[in-house]
Amino acid sequence: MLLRPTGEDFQLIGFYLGRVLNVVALAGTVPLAWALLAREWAPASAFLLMVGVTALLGSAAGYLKPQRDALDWSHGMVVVALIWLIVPVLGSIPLWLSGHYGSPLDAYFDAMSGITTTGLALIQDLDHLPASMNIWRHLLHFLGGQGIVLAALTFFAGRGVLALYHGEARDERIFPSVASTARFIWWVSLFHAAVGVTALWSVAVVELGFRPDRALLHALTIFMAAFDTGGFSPQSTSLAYYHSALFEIVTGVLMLAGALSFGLHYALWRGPRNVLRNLETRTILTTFLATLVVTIIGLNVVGAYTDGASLARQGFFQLLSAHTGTGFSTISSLDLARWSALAFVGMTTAMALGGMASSTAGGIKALRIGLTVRALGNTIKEVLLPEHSVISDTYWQSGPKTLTPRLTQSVMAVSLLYVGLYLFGAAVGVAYGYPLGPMLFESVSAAANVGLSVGITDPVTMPALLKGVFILQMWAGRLEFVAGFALMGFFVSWLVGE
Amino acid sequence: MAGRRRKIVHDVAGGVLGVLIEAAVLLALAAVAIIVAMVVSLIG
Repeated sequence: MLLRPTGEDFQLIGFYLGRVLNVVALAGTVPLAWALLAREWAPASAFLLMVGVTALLGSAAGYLKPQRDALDWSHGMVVVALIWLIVPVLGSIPLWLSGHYGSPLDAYFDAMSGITTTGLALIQDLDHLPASMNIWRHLLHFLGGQGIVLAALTFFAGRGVLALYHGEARDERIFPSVASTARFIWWVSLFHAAVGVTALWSVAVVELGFRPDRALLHALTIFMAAFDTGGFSPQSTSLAYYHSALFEIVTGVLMLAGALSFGLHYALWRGPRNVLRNLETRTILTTFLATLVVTIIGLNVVGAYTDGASLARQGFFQLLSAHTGTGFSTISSLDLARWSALAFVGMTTAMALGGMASSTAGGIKALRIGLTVRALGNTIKEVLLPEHSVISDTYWQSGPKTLTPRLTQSVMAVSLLYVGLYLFGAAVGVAYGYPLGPMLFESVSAAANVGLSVGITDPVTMPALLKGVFILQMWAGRLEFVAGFALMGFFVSWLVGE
Repeated sequence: MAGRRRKIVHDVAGGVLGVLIEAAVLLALAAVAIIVAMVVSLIG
């Protein structure tokens, strides 16, 4: 029997939603300040409106004052699922008011793409967007990559916040408490920000000859999109705009850093012992090299690049972008669409697999792939070996772990849901008449929060329903389904519960 | 005070080491890409 949620349940959920919204309002003051300093008055008024509305909602929710303040598991999941739907609505207000979007749906699409660190964009005339608006688009990446709720957890902590942490698809606690883990994640990000922004700014000024203030805008935005594996760019030609191998290398290091789990960052900070022993590290290295070989062979088949250096550079960078779930490209969507079917297989597989668990990347995640392969291997061994053979079910992941049937079941269920989500988007696109290959590529790119495009994501030609499906895919893929199911369960209980 | 300063130095050194390892891994992977591209070009 389903229990209908009571008024107190709604009070509790609303109260926590309000607390997170206050933090989002605080984040909104960054582009507001930028707009005021840069004398961009129209964007400044749009940001003021957004900050005002968000702060008003956040403060109003503060008056709900629930009787108990500890969140249980399902409440936490519902808060996370709702916050990831509501924040893009508020975040899309300045985007829509910028006049660079064909409809509010397009602005919501981009806000969702930003917050889920996807990077697919429906913005028009990006090259003439005000700087403060670009900062906001990329700040959405940063907020989403860190985890909006995790960002908020740095400001408030209490009983039951563990549910919020897990709801955002973070299942690794580096330190015993969520608050100290949240602080460590901030330290890693701020350290990479200091190193990354300095390096990108230096390359932009010294090699590319940018003015220092313009270089700062590009360094900040590219850092946020690279480290948070987002993929938005201040220019419509993405990284091809810079034509610089050095810029690509610095960005590549940041993309790789973003796709590593924060647990692995901790291990690297403390001395890289046993890092290569981790099942997840081994899995991601294997899948990266395998998909790289397939992609390069695929590019060579059609003679896409005449010299080996271009073949390696373009093949490697696009694949790195795909596997880390970033979505930057050094070639145009049209050029990407001309790649061979085999190269598409390599790229689509890399996107579908994704980065490491508890990182800023999307996709199925390397740990799940490693565990699935281990479970399948054990099943095959059971069939082949003599009846009483002992098969090891242990693996190494920051220490010895056991592959229990329950873990195997949950890993396989989530992996299967991802495959279903990839196929769902592709099926809707095919129904609209898009060819299967490119449509599958684009659907995987949305659901695995990558952002590479072969041109299907277009503000004019893309049907509104398909935009809606992509929004759903980005949201469900980022939250790894559990919070989404909890929200659905909550609504069903509300409707039919007793 | 001295202990806290030592901890900060240790943490920053750890962070720098982490970034250097990330850069080394990226360059190693890029080197593999170049080798694969060369071999594939020669065969193809």
